[in-house]
Parts: sequence; C-alpha cells; structure tokens
Amino acid sequence: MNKTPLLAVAAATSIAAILSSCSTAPSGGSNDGSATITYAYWGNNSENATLTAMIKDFEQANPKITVKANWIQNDYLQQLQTQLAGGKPPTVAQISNTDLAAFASSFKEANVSPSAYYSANIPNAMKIQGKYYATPFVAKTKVMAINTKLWQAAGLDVPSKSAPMNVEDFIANAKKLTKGSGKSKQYGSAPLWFGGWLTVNGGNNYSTDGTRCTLSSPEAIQAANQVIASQAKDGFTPTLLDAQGQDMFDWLSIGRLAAQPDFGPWNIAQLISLKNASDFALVPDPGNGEPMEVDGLAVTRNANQAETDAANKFISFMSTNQQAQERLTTKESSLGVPVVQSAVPAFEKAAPEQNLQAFVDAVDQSPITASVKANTKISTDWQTALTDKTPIGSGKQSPASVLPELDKQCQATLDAAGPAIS
Amino acid sequence: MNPITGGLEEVLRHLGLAPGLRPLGAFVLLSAVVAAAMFGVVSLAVRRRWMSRTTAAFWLFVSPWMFGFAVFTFGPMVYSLWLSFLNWDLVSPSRFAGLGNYQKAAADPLVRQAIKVTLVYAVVSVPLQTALSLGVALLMNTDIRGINVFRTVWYLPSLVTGVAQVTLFLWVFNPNYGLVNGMLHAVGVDGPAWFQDPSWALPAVIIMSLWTVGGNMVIYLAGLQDVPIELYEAASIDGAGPARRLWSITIPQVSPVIFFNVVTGLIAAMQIFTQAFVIKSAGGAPANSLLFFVYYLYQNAFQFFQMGYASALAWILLLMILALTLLVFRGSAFWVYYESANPKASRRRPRVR
Repeated sequence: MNKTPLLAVAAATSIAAILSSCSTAPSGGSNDGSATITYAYWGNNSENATLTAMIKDFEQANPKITVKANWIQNDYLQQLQTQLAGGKPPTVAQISNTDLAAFASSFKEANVSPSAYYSANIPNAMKIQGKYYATPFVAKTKVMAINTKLWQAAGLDVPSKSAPMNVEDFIANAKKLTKGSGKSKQYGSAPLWFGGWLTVNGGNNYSTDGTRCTLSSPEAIQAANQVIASQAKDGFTPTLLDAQGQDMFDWLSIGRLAAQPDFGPWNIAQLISLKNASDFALVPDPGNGEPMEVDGLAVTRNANQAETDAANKFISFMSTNQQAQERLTTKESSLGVPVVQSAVPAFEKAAPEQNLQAFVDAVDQSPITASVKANTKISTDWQTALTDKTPIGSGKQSPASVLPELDKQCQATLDAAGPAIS
Repeated sequence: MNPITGGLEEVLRHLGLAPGLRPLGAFVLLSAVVAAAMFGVVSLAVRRRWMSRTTAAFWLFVSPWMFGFAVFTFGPMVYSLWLSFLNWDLVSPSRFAGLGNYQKAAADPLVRQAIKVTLVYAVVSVPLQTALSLGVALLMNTDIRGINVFRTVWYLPSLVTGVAQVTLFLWVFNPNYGLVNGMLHAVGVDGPAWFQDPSWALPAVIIMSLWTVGGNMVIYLAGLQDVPIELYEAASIDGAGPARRLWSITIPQVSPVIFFNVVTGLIAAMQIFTQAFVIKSAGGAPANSLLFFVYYLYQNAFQFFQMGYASALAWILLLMILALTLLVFRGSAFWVYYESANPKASRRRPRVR
C-alpha cells in the first residue's frame, strides 16, 4: 500500500497540533514590566496626530511599554463591538460617556480618583451603577459663538462671557437679529437641536440614575415648542431645508448667522484662522447649556495582568499627566477640553484672544446625562418620531401629545434592555 | 489574535522571518496544511477506489473555492441561522430565544414598513430600469460614426460607486440649491423637497437608480448583436415594419437577457442599502420613507446591537428573495423564448452510435 496520502494527513495533523500548542504561550507582557498594549480610538487626521503625539510622549516616559495605535476612522463602535465579539479587543478602548453603558460589561472596573479633576461632572460621567468603568481624559463641551458686530449693529448688548443668558432673552435677541429674506437672509441663530435644547431648558432624556425616561417633562415639551417656533416663518433659525447640505460655521463666518449655540472645541482652530476672527466672541450657551461629551479610556476584560498594569499606567498618563493634557488643544487642532486643572492655562493659550474659559465653565453648566445601555436605539426612535410626527420635521402633531407617547416607548426599550451590569 | 495564526507567527519568529512578512507567512503555512490534508484525503480515496482519478482531480481543483465558500459564506450563514434563535448584543453572554426573534419580526410595524418600502422600490425600479436600458441599448445598436462615444457616455455613470453617486444626487435633489429644482423653478414649477419629503424620497431614489442603466445596457447590446440578421431580412421581405420586427423578433430573441437582468436586478433591489444609509446620514428620508429592509437589518445589527434579531431579519429577507425569484422563474415560461422548445434538450449530450 502506498503510504504517501497517510503521511500527508499525518504531517498536516502534526503541524496543526504543534502550532496549536505554540499558541498557548501568553502574549502581551512579561515579568520585567515590559508589555505591548493596543489602544483603539476614533478621530479625524488632526485628532489622530494629537493622540499619536500623546502616545509617543508616554512611550518615551515608559520605554518598556509599547502602545500600538489602532486608529478606527469610521464606524468605531461597530468595529469595537466586532473586535470584542471576535475575542480580539484592544487592550485600551476609547469610549464616550453616552456609549459607556453599552460596553461596560466588557471593561474592567477603573481606579478613578475624583479629586484629580477640577469638576465632579468629569469622573461622574464614567460611572455606571455607582462604579467607574473608564477613566476620563477629555471633555467636549459646547459654547455659543456670536458675531459681535451683528449684535452691536442691532443695538444689543454683547452677552456676558461668564454668566449664561436666560432662554427667553436669547430667543428675544435672536428674533431681533433676524432680518432680510431669500438667500441673503440673516438669522439670529443656527438651527436648534432638540437634544441640546432640552438640556438648555433644564430637561434631560433620563433620570439621574438612568432608570426612567423623562421625555414627557414640561421642559421637554417647552424645548420642542421652542425648536418648532424657531424654524417657523417668523422664526429666527434657518429651517432644516435651508440648512440642508450647508456648513453652519461658514454661515456664521460670513454673517448669515448671529449666533451658533452648539459650538464645540473642534471649531476653535477654524475660528482663529478666520480673517475676521476678532468679530466673534465665545460665550456660555443659554440656560443650562448643551450636554457635554466626556471621552474616557477603558481596559478590556481580555487583558492579562501585565497588559492591565501597562494599560493602567498609560491611562493614568493620558488622563492626568500635564504634558499629555496640554496636547489636547493647540492653535492647529483641538480634541477637546483638558480634564485636569494644571493643563487649563495651556488650553486657553491656544487662542488667547478668544474666551476659551467658556468651554471650561461649561463642564459644570449642565448635569451629566445618565449613560444607558439602549441609548442608541432610544435616541434613533425618538429623533425619528419627533421629526415624523411634529413640526420639528414634517409632522403636524403637537409635542404635548407626541412626547408622552415617546416617553412610554422609551421606557419600554429601557426596561427591555435591562441594567448595563447585571 | 487567533491562537492558530498566533502560533504560526511565533514559529516564523523563531525562524527569523521579518515581522512584516509573518502574517503572509502564516497564511501560506496554513494554506499548505489545509492543502496537504485535502491532498492526503483525496489520495487515500483514490487508492481505496472510493473515487476515480478524474473525480479526485475535480475535487482538488475546486478545493480552494470550496474552502473559501465553506469558511466565508456557508459557515457564516449557518452561524447566522443559529444566531437568529438567540438574543445577543456581542458583549454580554447570549441567551436562547427560540422563535422569539421571528415572532418579534412578525409583530414589528417597522418590519412591515421596511418590506413595503423595499417591495415598492423593487417593483417600480426594476421594470423602469429594464425598459430604459433596453431602449438605450436599441438606440446604441446602430452603426453610425462616433457611436462608441455615446455608448461610453451611457456606461460611465455605472462606474461611479454607490456612496459617490448618492452624495452627488444629494446636491442634484437639494430642495433649495439643487439642479432639479433649479430647472423646475426656471419653468415656473416649485419642486418638492425630494429626499426631505416623505412622499418624494422614494421616487427620488427610483429616479436616481435610472442613472446607472449603462451597465445593463451593455448586456442588452451584446444580446442584440447576437440576434441573427437573417430573421430581420426574412421579416422585412414579409413586409414587417420596425415595430413589428421589434415585437416579434428582437424582444423574443433577447428575452433570456431580459430575464437575466430582471432576476439579478430584483435581487439587487431587494438588497438596496447604500442609498438609504447616505441619505439618512445627511439628515434626509423622514417618516421612515427610505427604511429599506437591509437598512433596518443594519440598524438592528450595528447600531442597536441586536444580533439575534438582525440575523432573523436576514433569514426573512433570504426567504423573500427566494420566493420572488421563484415567482419570476415560474412566470418566465410564458415570456422567455429559448431557441430550443425544450431548454433542457440543448444541454443533452448527443448520443453517439
């Protein structure tokens, strides 16, 4: 009998067995403290450059630890979820406070020291059911950019740099700033976003502990009515159709908008590069301000002890090291607002002629929105329903009749999803 | 990293292979192991006379494809069938749900909306695309100077990828600044809000789909050039005019091509996704007006992380496409003309005495 086929099968089986046994060796770390960890994050080119520079700083300070950057440019959450499901997650994952609940069960508990941060809102954003699952490293607050020339031309006082306007005053001023018609019409404000305007009015999507939906609150109904009135014929913002495909920052820069209430730190570099940058001022958002996003760093559960130790060193560096935090915002780009006080002066130096302190103040302006597991589904459902059923979009029903319905639907989804950590 | 590929890379590291080449080396090694195993099994089967050498050669030659199909298509399909009976968000442990996901789909009003939108799109767009591409192919099937330029112009849009095409049409159909409403305004008509209007979003996507008929046109053109010229000559001698020749010769002769384009077009239309994704991302498609089935499936899988439910939706879609395709196949007996009265007859090997 020819033994060639049997030999081939035996050889293949042996190679496979040898390889399988090789693979049982632990990877990622060793006893001398050296380790290689992976770090997954999202962002555009300039944000990637900032984070890469922070990684280099860390590796210089910790030569035994290598951080492999895993820059996910699109569909970050989907890719992170897939990596987790495939058993190949990054050692450290960047995560925003709004998405934390959906991923918390994949992360190790974090050792966060609240006193390291200048506002309790910052560490609190990383808490799920009373425990920390990520360490904050950047805050993304919103302020209002205003065209001071247009305000002065309308005979209005330029808003205070530190005290937020009340909502009624903002609306009254925005109406006065609206004039003209057609393609040269000047609007008092950029379109209002219901989710943002809800917190401006003191409302929120969920109760503080994230167990109840609060979409039928009087604040929510008031916010929805204000958004509808703002885009009516006699309103003070462009309609959704007017704004379709348009860059609102461009409109602000050319004087078609007198104010942009959802101005984020990522717009700072754009603002200071304008020839007429001195025409603009940054002031707090009206009322309770728009919700901020806090991005944290979490260690995934698959990490072994050596990787976890290295990851914790890296996270601590990114979150509290002054040099690292100072890199977050420069004249060229901004990832967001630093979370430690020692880096705030450097943040403000990025644009000394602008009131960047407003971004820092905004950290305390509104309470943190609770992170809930089914947040994406709930947000998608209510945004679709609000635009379909009320004049915020193409509907005709009043928010007072629609929002209680949405609240019930929201509560059902919230209950079905259950707690983030069971 | 997968333990097996990790082990392979470790072996290659010991052998001194450069780090950049290790993944490729691991792939080559893994392929060699699979090929050796396959070769061993087939050789054994030949030695034991379980199969002839010709059959063995067939299996060896198709084995790379078989391996790819098993790993990348059939395997995931079986896995998704299993997933459809689970509740799983990819992060937490999965829970067995039985037929729960299918029952949920049956009661979900958004599934009904997704089926309605998808079917309307398929039933309207496929006949329109078929008629237009055949019409253009007939126009292009002439022998005049510069016809290749026209053929190229018609074909070019089909080279534009889905996302680029939709981005372009977001501007074409922009209510305030778009080309279409600009032209309508010039003739005194106030155009609709297109993608922003629940009543016009789907018609706009159907119109958009006609922009890429060039791909089908090329197939029809090939079919038209295959029609025997003698048939037209005989018909002309018998006094048939152009309309008669079209109806009685051209369409029957190219009916297998029409059938092919209708079947593939229908399957593609049922799987439409990119248009809804890009338009929705740009703030359009209100009132679930572009809630195509695959888009809803995607939302559940990758936005809401309901993998079990999304897998159930995928199997429902497969069954719907299967049913529609079978329907078209059954109906084809009435309108598709094959040169042999019995299409199977032509496939039979002639008997040699």
